[in-house]
Amino acid sequence: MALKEQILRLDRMLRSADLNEAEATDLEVFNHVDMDRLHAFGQYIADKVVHRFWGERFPATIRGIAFALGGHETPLAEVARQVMATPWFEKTIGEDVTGSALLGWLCSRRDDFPRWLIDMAGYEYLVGCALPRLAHNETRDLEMEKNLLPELQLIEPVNDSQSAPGKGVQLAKTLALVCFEYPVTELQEVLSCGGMIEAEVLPEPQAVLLAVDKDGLLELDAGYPAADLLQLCARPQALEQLKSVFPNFAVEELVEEFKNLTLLEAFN
Amino acid sequence: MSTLSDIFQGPFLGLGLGIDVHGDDPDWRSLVDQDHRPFDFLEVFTRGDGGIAAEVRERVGPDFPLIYHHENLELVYPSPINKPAIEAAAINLNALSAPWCIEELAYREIEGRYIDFFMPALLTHESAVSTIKKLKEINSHLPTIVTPENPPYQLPVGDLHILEFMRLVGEGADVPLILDLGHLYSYQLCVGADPLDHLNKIPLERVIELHVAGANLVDINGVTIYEDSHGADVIPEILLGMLEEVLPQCPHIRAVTIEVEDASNERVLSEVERVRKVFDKLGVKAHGS
Repeated sequence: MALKEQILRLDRMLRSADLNEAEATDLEVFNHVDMDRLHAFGQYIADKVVHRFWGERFPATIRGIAFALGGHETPLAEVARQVMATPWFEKTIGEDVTGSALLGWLCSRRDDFPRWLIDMAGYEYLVGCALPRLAHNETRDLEMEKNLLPELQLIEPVNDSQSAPGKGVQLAKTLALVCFEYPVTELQEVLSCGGMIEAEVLPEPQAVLLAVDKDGLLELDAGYPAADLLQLCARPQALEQLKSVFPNFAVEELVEEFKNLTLLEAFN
Repeated sequence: MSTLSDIFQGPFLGLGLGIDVHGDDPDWRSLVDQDHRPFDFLEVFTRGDGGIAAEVRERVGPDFPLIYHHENLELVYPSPINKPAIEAAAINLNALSAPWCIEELAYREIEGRYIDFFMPALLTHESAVSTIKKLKEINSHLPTIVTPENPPYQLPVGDLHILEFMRLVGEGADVPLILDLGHLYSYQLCVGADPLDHLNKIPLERVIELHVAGANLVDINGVTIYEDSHGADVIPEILLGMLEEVLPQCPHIRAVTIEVEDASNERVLSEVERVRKVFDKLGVKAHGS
């Protein structure tokens, strides 16, 4: 067997929790391998991967997956071992910067995991990966993103000077709006801190509205009329027009608040 | 351009620090800016980014010795040479005026996929032959010589001892060698040998630099895994013992480096002190000794 194939075979053996020892002994080069050490090293690698690749951006997702795999005592490294043993791991870019490996794998096994976990993974992906990468013009795995967040709406300011009013306001940042079936922010908060959740999580719809630019992310009230007003302001809007659309609300105050938050900017 | 003779015959640089220009620990800029630098040279590690090392030369001044440690030439991975990686190495080597370029006998990518740590060379004759060929080709493109360093091992694969592998590569490619004592220890742990067993397998006359660094031993289901943590841990005493024994046996030694990435400035100074004590015991001085 050529050197490259030996290297690839070793890589597969280290990534797989279920080692094929017969396969290993087929190769003369692997006759010298200490199999206990191979198992231990594989576990060591998995522990490093789960923390380095996913621990900071998807803390609740990996804990949720571990919990779903085997309860609260399941080590996080088991999540990595499961992902690493599949072709999904071969899609990693750097330290899985797009989340393709972990979340692609999760979506592929959607039926094996509770729906709240998929929702919460989508939320963490949005906050920890997709929107920061969007703000910095970095690549995203759009196919995986569509699979994980089919209802995601991204609203960006539209350059539409022809139909714009003479004076008004316009969206200054990109918005992300998505409706989840489960209380994702609460679940994320509990799990990311190492807290425990009930085995059964009841649906409790939550709309999430986020604004992002290079300076960071802001989570907003997704209720009416705030979210609707912001969406409308993707194109420049005159104040009077906004007042006419939302007649029963203090539109001027809302606009001022959004300008202070740099969500809206004046359009002249 | 540094020739092999230049490298073997040059002066002993002394005790230096291996730093990662991307990292904040240690604060190498403040270490360098001191009136009295407690180290004799810097070994500059980049992640293969061209141009990033230039700041170091500017900061230390034109005469302070600098060595270069590259990553991503992938000496042991059987693939065509990576021309952008070689160009980046050349840029940094020229910026630093480094006398040699270090690269580990390991790979960090598999078919373009990044892996999170160095996977060491397979220890077979076939692997050695492939490495020699690639190293010769890479060296034909650079202003100075790439000198291979033994990588850390947690799982040796193959029938050769790492020191035998180093000999084959050193003699086959006719290059100097870097001997990392911690990495050697990691290998010996794997095979159940004493730290300096089989030292006679490596041609010590080719060794121009010795490395020591902090490390941690981790037990996983009864198996000891060597964690090459550099500055995040202190240098194990056993490595200082290895240094005391190996250093006098290297007739062309040019440098001893403490790899201090992730160390606080305070730890850097205390580790320098510890290694200097070994130097004092051996009567080793810097700069021309």
